[in-house]
Amino acid sequence: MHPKTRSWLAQALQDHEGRLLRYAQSLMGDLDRARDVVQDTFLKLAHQQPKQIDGYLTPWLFRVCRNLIIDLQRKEQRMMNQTLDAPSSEQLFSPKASPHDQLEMNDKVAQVMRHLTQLPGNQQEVIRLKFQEELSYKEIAEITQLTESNIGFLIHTGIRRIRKKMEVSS
Amino acid sequence: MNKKEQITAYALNEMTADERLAFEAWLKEHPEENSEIAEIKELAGLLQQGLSQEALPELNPSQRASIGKSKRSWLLWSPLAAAAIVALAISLQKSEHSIVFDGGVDETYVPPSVAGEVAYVDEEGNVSYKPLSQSIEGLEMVPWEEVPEELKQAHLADKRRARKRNPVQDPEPAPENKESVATPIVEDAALSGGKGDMNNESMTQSSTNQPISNRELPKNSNKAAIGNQVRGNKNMPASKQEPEIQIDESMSDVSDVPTTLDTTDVVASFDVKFESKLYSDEEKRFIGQGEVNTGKNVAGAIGLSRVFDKKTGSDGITQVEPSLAVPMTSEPEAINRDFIPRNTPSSVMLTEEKENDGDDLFVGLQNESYDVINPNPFFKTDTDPLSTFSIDVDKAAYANVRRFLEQGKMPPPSAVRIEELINYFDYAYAIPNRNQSFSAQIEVTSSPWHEGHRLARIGLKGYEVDNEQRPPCNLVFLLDVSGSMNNRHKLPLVKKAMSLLTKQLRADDSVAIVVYAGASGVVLDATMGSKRSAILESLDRLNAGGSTNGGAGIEAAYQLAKQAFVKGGINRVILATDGDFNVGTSDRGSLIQLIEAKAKEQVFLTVLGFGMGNLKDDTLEQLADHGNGFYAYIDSLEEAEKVMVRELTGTLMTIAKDVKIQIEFNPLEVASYRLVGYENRVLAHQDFNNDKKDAGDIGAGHSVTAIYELVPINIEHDVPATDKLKYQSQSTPSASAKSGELFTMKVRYKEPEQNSSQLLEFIAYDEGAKLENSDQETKFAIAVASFGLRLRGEINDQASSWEHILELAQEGLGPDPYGDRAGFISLVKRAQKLDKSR
Repeated sequence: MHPKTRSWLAQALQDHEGRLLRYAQSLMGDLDRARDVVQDTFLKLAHQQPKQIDGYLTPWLFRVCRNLIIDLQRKEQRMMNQTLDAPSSEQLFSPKASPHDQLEMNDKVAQVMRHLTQLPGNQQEVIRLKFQEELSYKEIAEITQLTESNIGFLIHTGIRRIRKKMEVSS
Repeated sequence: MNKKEQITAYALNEMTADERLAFEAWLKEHPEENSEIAEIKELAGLLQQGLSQEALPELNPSQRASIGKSKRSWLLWSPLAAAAIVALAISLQKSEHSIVFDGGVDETYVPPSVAGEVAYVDEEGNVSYKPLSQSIEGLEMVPWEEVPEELKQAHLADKRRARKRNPVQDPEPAPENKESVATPIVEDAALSGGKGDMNNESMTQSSTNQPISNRELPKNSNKAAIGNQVRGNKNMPASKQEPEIQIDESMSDVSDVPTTLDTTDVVASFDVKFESKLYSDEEKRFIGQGEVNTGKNVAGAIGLSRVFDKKTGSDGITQVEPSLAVPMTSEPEAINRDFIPRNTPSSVMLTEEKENDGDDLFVGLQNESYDVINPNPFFKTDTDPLSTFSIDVDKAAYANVRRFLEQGKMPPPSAVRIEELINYFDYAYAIPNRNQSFSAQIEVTSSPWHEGHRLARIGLKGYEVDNEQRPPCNLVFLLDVSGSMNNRHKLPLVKKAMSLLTKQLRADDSVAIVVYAGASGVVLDATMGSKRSAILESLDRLNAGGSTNGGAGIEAAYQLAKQAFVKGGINRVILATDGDFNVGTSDRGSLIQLIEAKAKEQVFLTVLGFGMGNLKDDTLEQLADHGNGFYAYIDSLEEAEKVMVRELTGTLMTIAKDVKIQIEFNPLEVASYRLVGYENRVLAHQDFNNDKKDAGDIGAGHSVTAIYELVPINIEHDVPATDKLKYQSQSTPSASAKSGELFTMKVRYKEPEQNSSQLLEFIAYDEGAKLENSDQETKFAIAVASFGLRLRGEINDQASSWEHILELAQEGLGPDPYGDRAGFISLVKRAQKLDKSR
């Protein structure tokens, strides 16, 4: 590996390792499987030309990671259901919120987080990408292969639901 | 996008300039929508806040390594070398050593001790280390051919030796063997990973085969990494074989003998050569052999320690022979005691198997160091009527012991400082009023450990100060952000602990932050407590990386503390580290001198120990002791909450310093006695009245408890006696001895800003109370002491059964508002279970 490539890769790893793992874990619910997927994501990155990905690295990593998860879960689903129908991504993702440190959260934040976990998987996912990874609609669209207006709709709907629940509980 | 979606997009700043202009025009006509925008923004803030608090997990080191290794690169390491690093971690840089680095291919076994450190060899054959986060970057990878011959040879020899030992070393390989069966499948998965083009089929297999339990998982991942390498062996045409194939005889072994793949079976044994000058900073040092098999018997690792005495040892190279990994059955601390001269400052390097905490699972060896504890012996009252010690309000050992037990391991005896276990808990002693710094309470009761013996429990309690009433603080945080802190139990926890603390700050407090790693720097200049967001922001920016240079950082921190000095306030440097401390040009001794000098200038030191695997417990305790400070170990957010919120004023505010206790026993009542715990706090008797002699400090609201075991005169007890003196006759009891008093306790202390001490005296009587009739506090303290003695193996099940400890603790539970004592009970149950399963 060219030293420049190597340091580029190291930088990518340093910047994205934790975030990708957190994302993968939220989709798969299991940290150890998430680790495998993220490892594979970076192995794929190691075979890319930095030039081709520069400026596009974050969405690239999340997208590759996401696709690996989908492939994996689709296979598992098929083996379980013995059906060849590809399940929709809503069925695939049943995110479990990773444990929060309740102690540090004020009640309101804790409430919001609780409501978040009750949203459909696809809404949770885009909300995470938006507010946890601070990605734009555009980047999220690239990652999820949806249109930007799809993303706008999903985020809007998710936020509206959480707000409604907050109103009810207060 | 409909209008509602547009409102959301607008609130989230997701509009192009044109869209925004158009929308704002519309919004002017619909001002009622502004409240909705505000609400969305508020919710967005909450979401951001909540989601950003989720932990950032980490890959296993070997997984990271495999990324760096893709496309035949040479990451040079080995379990052998790694284990050697464990042993030499402190002062390797300048040493001449013959540690050999492997081609990075065998078990791909990255010890957590090097948690984030990778050893690598440059073209001249020099060995150096980089934190893992930097390991890929700048890694000079050397083909096997270019590795210097001597390194090669030594390495191969090491490998052969290690392999020879392996089969013998694992007496019960059964559970692991089962897993080995799955190897080929898993390897396949790894192959595809290594090739970079995902083979979905095998990927699935790998995940369906993926074991669920923590124990099994690392192997799978290990194999993945191995498979990565093996691929070259299997698939490549001979002519195209790359250096990585030649490198490693073990590789063929790996594919031939699947059992050697099981890293948890691998006993990292090693030979280390070092020059004894390495230890010039301390007279004696113990080197633990990295001979731990799967961590079943962590204590065994200590048992295998050898002692090197610089004075008597050879001048040249000392060879440490690898000990055989025979399961330890004898009491490990007994072995230690044989080696250890009494009262010699010494330390043990403990290597242990990494705990299965689910996060950095993979990693096998750890590197923690603890001072050896020699239990206080019984002394005869007629020849040694005085007992003198310094108080200790540290609590670190309890949290540390809890960590071990929660990970399913008995703690090494030298990690069990009984006084810190006892003092972890708050006791409901009478709270002194403000004209008194603290109150004292003495309670004498029967001993559960020995028929007829008595226990005297001494309790001191400092006055309490509310957060609102405390003087203003000038705090300088000195944060270790070196590579070793890059672990979820460390820097992220430090940040959380600090953000908890900032919530307790008042507007008149000031906070500054200094970080140290390869280079130290001021992250935040003294900032008033009212600017909490600025403080939090600078915390957020912190990242772990680089090696540690504590010396420069600590000087910068004291400098800042001096600049912002608040007269009559709390001036304190708070060091947060895992203690893997490289103090730069200065050694530990001059660091301590610095800390002592600063304590005299009223800048005190609080030490917060974090993390595991690298914990330099002994160093940290020592630093805090010399800085009129306090040492706490923070293993969880709950613990951070206890130290930083509930007991904050105690953590920060010293109300009495250099507190010493001297007890004179009455020879007509007490035949012999011993102090339980406080081993490293015992003072020379003449130091009691010497105000220059440093001792422990009491923080606001802190309580200190000590327990003496007393042998009444009518009880037979064998304590070795000295010969009769030739020139003096034995002293005879005075008239006061007939008073029936058991002992007199004298307490000396200084007000925080005074240099001369004050004296308090208390007299104790024995009214024949029985333990079962004692108060809750006494029962609980004795339960904790019994627990500590059991963990150290000083008393056995007959003297104090786990059931009895539980019973005592239950009876001493009291109101327990924070559940600390209930936590103790579950800890005892854990220890009981672990002990029974041994």
